[in-house]
Amino acid sequence: MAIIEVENLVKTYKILQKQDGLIGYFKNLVRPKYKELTAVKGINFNIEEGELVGYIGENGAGKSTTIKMLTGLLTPTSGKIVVNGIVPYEKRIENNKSIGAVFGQKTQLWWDLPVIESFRLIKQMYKLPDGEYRKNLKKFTQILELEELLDKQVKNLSLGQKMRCEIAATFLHNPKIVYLDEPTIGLDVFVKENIRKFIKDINREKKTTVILTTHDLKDIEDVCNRIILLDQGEIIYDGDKQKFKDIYGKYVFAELVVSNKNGKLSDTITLNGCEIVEETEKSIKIKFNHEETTIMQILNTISNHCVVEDIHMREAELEDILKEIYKGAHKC
Amino acid sequence: MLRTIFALAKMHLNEHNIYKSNFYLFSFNRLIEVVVYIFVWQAIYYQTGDAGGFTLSQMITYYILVVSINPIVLWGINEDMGHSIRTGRINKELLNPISYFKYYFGMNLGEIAFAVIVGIAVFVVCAIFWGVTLPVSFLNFIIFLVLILLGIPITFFLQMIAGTVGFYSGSIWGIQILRKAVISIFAGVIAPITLFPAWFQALSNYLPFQELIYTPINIWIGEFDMSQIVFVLIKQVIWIVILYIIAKKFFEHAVKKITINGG
Amino acid sequence: MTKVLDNIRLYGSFLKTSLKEMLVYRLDCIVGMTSQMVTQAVEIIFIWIVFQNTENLAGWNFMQIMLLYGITLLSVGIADFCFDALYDIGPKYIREGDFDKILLRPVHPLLSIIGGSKEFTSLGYFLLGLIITIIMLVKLAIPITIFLILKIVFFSIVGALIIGGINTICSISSFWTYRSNEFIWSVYQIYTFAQYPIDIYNGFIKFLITVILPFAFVAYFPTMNYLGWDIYLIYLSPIVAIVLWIIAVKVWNLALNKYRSTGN
Repeated sequence: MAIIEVENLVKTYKILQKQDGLIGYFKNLVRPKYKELTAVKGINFNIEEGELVGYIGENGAGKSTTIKMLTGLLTPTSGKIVVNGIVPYEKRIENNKSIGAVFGQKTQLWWDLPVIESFRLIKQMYKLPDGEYRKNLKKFTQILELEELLDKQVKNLSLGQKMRCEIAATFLHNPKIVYLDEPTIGLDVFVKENIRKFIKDINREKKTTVILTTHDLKDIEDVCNRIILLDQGEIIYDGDKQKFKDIYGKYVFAELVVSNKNGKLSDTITLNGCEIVEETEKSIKIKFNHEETTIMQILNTISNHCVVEDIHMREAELEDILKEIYKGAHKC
Repeated sequence: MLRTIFALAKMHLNEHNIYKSNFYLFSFNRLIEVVVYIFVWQAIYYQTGDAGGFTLSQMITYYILVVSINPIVLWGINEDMGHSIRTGRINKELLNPISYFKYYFGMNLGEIAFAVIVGIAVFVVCAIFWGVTLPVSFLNFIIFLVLILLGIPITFFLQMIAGTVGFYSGSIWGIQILRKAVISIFAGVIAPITLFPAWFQALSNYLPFQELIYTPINIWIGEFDMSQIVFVLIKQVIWIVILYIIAKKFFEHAVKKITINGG
Repeated sequence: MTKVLDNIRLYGSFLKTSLKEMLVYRLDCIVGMTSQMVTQAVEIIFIWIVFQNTENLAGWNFMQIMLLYGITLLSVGIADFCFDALYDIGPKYIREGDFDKILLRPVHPLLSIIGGSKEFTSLGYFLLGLIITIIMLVKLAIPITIFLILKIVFFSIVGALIIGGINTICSISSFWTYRSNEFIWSVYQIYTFAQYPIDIYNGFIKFLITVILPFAFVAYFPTMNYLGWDIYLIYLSPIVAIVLWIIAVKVWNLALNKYRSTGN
């Protein structure tokens, strides 16, 4: 049985329409005008225990709204959510016992107190057995490099240090499901990698289900094995990450270093299944579909017009694919 | 559950302990307040030979007890609640495995522990400076303590009601200034209730506020008609239930509003 | 002199910006003002109760004490309006690190901070003070002449400057602890003494509120002048204000230099 079941989930907000000026302000008080905005438009998905799911989409696609509904912080307008056998918005506190959540840079740690005191409170609140607590603390301290931080007041920590502690706090009580809403925002590369490694390690060991929304697609690339792609409140892809790349990422990027070039190539030649993205005196950037053409065919054509000195090739990454999708190149 | 609440109380108290200066400043502020009251009533007593129907030493004891108990009644977690709403931290607190009420009740107990420490310090300093009359009997002292304890849930629920207003208005400080002012007037912080007009006294008899400060002090100095004690105790318990229901329903309504239209 | 005028003009433009900011939060502002007026009711009730028990307090009757109270609120209202930002130095500027940004501005940091934010809700104090003052002047049959009005306006501002000066001196504690707001507020609390006739106190408190923290010059001595009891002490108020501000700027600069050199 799936640990998270979502069926025909819809969320519509009422938004107060602001009216300008002093008169508008009083109008708002007397007879407020609302307009409706549907953030999530009837989505369906099931998540199995132990999955690492990347929940992605542009700003305003409805990611945070979904996460808030899954945690019980928002009530759906219609549709069904069952998390771990519980309807979260009906039995919020019951649901809270088996989940953990990170919302951006907002912290649950107590600002004025040493980090370890917040951890002890979590142990107490979730009734975590002593042995389990000590085992987790030791492990987390090691992976997330918290040794030096535990006795520091939270207010004296840097953002990266604070987020590492926050992540540890979120996983401390062995939650079955963890929602991470932009956990790496504003962090440097090393901290990001550290956190990604931590998530993967814990998932492997404890089969913790993780749902991750992020703007940094490297997070997804590195951590997740499944992608749910949301666009304007609707799911446009749901499935395996590699398959996603295979379906939508059929093209390859190549940069050619050239010399003795005569004029603009894009004006003079036509290439089947290949597009010239950028062109200067010394270099040509191309993008081609490897099912329709090969690099040899392209080189054959191009070398008639100039001397190719070097080639750099790379496969399309998630970011490239998403850019294509948002531009409307692929219809899903 | 109790252990979690105590853990929260301890953490909140620890937050105060980080700032030792808080203790001195807060105690100092209490002292200034009592000094003004004492000098004014001394002046009245020397001029008229009467201090509002009390002896001067009773009146001095009254105000010393007022400023000592006052922090227990007025301080609390309203600022923390306001901060939690303003910064969106509330979202994280709603995801705790214990209810928002219990979470804040625990913190409130920590605040009260701090208030008791300040109160005792102020009491001792004042006792050295002006002298206080001791409770008229041990039994009176016990009843004094019982009423103070019964006041804790009452002031807590009042804070939750005031704090919940912040869910709607976005700002909590205006409403909590109001809360403090109302308690100050009705609890007898400004002056013993007997010095207020008759209609006010009649009204005050049915409200829970005078038992927060005025009645316990009267029991301490032996000016309270003990035949009333059963009425007072029952009244307080009824008010605890009423305020609990109001606070809970109001809070649930507010949370529903948040969960329907976002925080 | 041109430097002083420049600074005043600068202060004016700060004021305009924060007024615009306030208009955004109109509702909060109205709630705040009302609540503060209710808080004042607590003090007025105490004064009322006192005079239910005595005809006069050290020679002052109810209306005279209320006049003192009204005059006090005028100065307090102006002072809270103008100098509220001093409370923010520790918790807001130093703690959040904004203070270093202020040091980069081509303006004296003290002016930058004082001009930075305005507590418009304290206008509630001022309004209440104005109403009480007018009612009490009429009831006490004190002729409201142009000269009296000018005197009240001038000495209310002077009084606000005295409060502001004392607050500014206390605000240097911000350089050591970001919870300085509580210290400033604690010292400000001592003002309560100056709301009642100074004759009811012992020598120590008298000395405290006339010499160490000259709060008595804010409203107490001016009110005695308006009542015709003491003509001359009022004219010490401007001198007190000037001396306080000279001290305030001096110690502030000293503390600032120390803060800069240690880098904190």
